Amino acid sequence: MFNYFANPTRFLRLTSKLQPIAMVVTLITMGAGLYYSLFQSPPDYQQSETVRMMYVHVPAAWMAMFCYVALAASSAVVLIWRHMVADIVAKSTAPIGACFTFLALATGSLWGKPMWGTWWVWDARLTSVLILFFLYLGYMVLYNAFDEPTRGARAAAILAIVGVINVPIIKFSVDWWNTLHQPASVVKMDGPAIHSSMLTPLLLMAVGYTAFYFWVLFIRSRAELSAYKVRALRIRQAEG
Amino acid sequence: MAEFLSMGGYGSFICSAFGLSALVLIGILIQSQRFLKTSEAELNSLQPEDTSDGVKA
Amino acid sequence: MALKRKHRRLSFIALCLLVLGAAAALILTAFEDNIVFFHNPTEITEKFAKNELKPTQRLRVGGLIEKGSVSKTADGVTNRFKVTDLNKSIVVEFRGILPDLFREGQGIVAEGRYNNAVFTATEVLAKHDETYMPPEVAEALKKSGQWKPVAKEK
Repeated sequence: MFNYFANPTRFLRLTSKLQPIAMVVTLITMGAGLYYSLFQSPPDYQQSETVRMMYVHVPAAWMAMFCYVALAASSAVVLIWRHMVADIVAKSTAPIGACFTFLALATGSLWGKPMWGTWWVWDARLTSVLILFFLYLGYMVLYNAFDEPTRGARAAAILAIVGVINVPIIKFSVDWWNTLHQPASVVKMDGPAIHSSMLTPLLLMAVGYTAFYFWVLFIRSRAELSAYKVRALRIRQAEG
Repeated sequence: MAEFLSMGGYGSFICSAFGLSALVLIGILIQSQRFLKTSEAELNSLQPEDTSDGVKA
Repeated sequence: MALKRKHRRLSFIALCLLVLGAAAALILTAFEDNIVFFHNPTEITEKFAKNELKPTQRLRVGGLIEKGSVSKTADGVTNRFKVTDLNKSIVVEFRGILPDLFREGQGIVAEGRYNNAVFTATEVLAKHDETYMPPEVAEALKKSGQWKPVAKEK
């Protein structure tokens, strides 16, 4: 399967075909999700209207971790099999993941101020997500820090793989240590602790955010592939 | 409408959270589309005759 | 030959991750005391009894606000309440703005110093649980007696 998609031309054809599908799914689920988030869902018994911030905060946080796992997995493929397509997926994922992580932190801060009474605390959950953000930034800086692109790609891939240790720490930080952040509400052993009227907008937005990731990933991958070809042509011209 | 916007006094926090999310997501989408346009244009300027590899939009 | 090299790289990366994971686990366990955001009243009273914590140290206490314990002190502005982990409780005094979620039975984290059996807080933060539901549902659950209070504060 790897080898099938490792062919750049095939990958290009596939992404071009899937891009409009991802776009349509994003627009529909996010549109419905926004409607449910702002108009069709009830306030919370404890947090009243502020619970609506959950519908942009939680999907962003989920995608921050999802993107990192995608980044680390494709980085592993880069290091082990040296596939150019995996490199393109990794390089394209990093800025999207960084955006999601930034949003998780920023919306969390906006939610924390009215509910907890503070914009920020250094508890295990918040700190580990901040580290995730720096890992994304570090990946992007390291990637571009070398004159030779393949060396940058490998150095950055190593960083991405090492940093994957942080993902389970983020996920379980709220269970392992006392934190100000509450434990997981949806992905937990005894089923979600969210009423269905609030789970609907949350899941709609989560699907929307996931589709959005793929939509932007496909656009960026096509762009990176073209940039790669430009580089290759330039080198050939310089040599020939 | 005013009551909807105030959202029990938390309107400014909620609007900022949704507004910022929209801004960042639309921002990366537009930046990605521009990146695609410029890199494809550059590629086409280097190999104008070759359209067989499906690169042209 | 090429395949062998790929296998070697794969096992090398897997081994590195294993070692890194073990190292991370060791470090995080060693620094557990610094990673926890707050201590519960039981821990704090025990540590003060054993002299592991001193009245000059800044620390955080977390727990639920004991029912019927919220009051004002003689000066009329300082809030006084008890924080409990359903085992031990600690008296907290705080002058300042309480978070919106502050109410009896609510989880809170207070930062300050513990001296002469009174925790003088400089900051009080609210900690809420992971359940979300509309007010009507919460009301109905309480009425039918199916309400499960979150007494899980460690």
